Amino acid sequence: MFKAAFPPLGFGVGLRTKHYGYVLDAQPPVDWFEVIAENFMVRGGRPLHVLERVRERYPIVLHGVSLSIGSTDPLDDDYLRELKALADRFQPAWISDHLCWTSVGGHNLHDLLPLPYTEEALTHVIERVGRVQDRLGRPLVLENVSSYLTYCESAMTEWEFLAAVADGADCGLLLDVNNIFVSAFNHGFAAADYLRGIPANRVVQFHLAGHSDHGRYLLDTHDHPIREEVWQLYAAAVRSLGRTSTLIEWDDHIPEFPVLHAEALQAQRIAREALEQIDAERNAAAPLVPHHVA
Amino acid sequence: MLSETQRLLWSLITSPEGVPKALAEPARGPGLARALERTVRGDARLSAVERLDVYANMYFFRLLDVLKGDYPAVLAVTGDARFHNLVTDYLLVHVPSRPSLRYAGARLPDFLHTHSLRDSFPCLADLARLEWAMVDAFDAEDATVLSAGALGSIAPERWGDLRFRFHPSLQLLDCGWAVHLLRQRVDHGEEAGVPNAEAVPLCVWRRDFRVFHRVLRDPERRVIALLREGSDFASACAIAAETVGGEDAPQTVASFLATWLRDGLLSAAVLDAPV
Repeated sequence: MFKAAFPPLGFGVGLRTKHYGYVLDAQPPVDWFEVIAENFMVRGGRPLHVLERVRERYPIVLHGVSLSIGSTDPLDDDYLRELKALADRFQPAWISDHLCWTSVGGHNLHDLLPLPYTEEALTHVIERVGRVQDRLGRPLVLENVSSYLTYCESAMTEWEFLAAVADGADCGLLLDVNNIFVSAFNHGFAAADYLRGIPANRVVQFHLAGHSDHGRYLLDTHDHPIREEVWQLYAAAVRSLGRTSTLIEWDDHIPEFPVLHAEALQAQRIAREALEQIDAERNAAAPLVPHHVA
Repeated sequence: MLSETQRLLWSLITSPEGVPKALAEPARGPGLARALERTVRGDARLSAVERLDVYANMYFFRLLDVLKGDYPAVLAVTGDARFHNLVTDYLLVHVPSRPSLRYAGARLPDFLHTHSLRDSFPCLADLARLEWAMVDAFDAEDATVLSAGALGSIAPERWGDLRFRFHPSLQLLDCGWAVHLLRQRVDHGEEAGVPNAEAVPLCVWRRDFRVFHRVLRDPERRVIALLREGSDFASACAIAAETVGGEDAPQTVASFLATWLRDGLLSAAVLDAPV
């Protein structure tokens, strides 16, 4: 069982610069932190000092944004070396990045572009994930991105592609519930279909975040509280995929830390209720054990 | 082909005025429009052009925000509209290539040497150099800070051979404008103002995770440069003597050392045998 190798960390928060002082001083009772790997690929100074101290008290996960696993550029050896050095130093519970492309022709868009869901892209990504996992010496966890475009040549759904990558490359999945919601709206698919198509055994983490409504499309801005519809989808995801490490992301107009912590505690309540509901349904469905008949 | 798809999208996303204007260019627009139509699916909600333009907007504004954070005083001097256009011009020439956004603005100081904004704001290139030095100092390599006590045990006759290692965050800048005062005003929330045209040697460094800058007066500028290149204390005194005379030179350099020790600019003192 793939997922069994990633014991749930509980309910965490993305560590952001604004909260460094608070986290070090107050040591809030958060289960774990996720950090953006690239922010710590530096030579020295405060970021690495803060991460050292955070790591002394909390489990962490390294979350990258620039692996560009779907790019047709060669894998960036320097980047992988730095990522591995960071992982060796801070011993994260796992390393994640996005199922997307961010660079081409040696140029970086610093954005998470979706891939066409084709056999060509599938083969390409699976081969590259294998090489990255070999370099890192550990499984990679890939996240579904929010997207604003799809390709004419796509021959499968996003969730079929995601599941095929996970199986083909033997890697984990980070399911961003908000991204599913945003993409479902933008492309007109049913989020429930997405959840049904995801192999539960591969999902080691959930992301939750806020988005903004631009009328004809939703934008994954990470600058709002999590919307009620996304909480409902999260409950469905927990019912469908089981107990899974969950993390709150907030990247713009970042509020004080207790606001983020409250969102993590809300996720904990929703997950607990969803799991209790599953247990109740299982118990109700189980046949009564008949009395022994002599 | 996946590579062709990625190159097409990249060329449109990085177009300086957005996807619709790129497609309206007579020279390349029609061909690009047909290629986009074959590649990206449009629907009743959003056309293919509108969908790709979401990414084009995010590309530019993400980088604009990063550069605003790196260059707050350049922004204060130019104002929002000129800074916006400056970043548009900059990104056309210096497309981000490194995995981290941290380095996206690295070449703005050099770029400003040739940009037309320099005619209106001749201090901009120097100001940008100071601000980028501060970015670099922030996450420069860590090092121990030399204490005054470590020098106390050195016999007077050995001082001439003494060499120093400076903190890795230390950078020396020779500016033609008093841009350090301008940056200070911006940091304090004051009007940026116009800096005086004068030769201003500056040093930038980090101590206790805070970045500092200050003016170096002659002969401190020459002495610190010489010592940083590996010369010994006696050579530093010889340079100082050209300005203050041979008799006062050792005391002058010793006073510099006291200041550097106080500010955390030194990380080690080295003799042939360890100090």
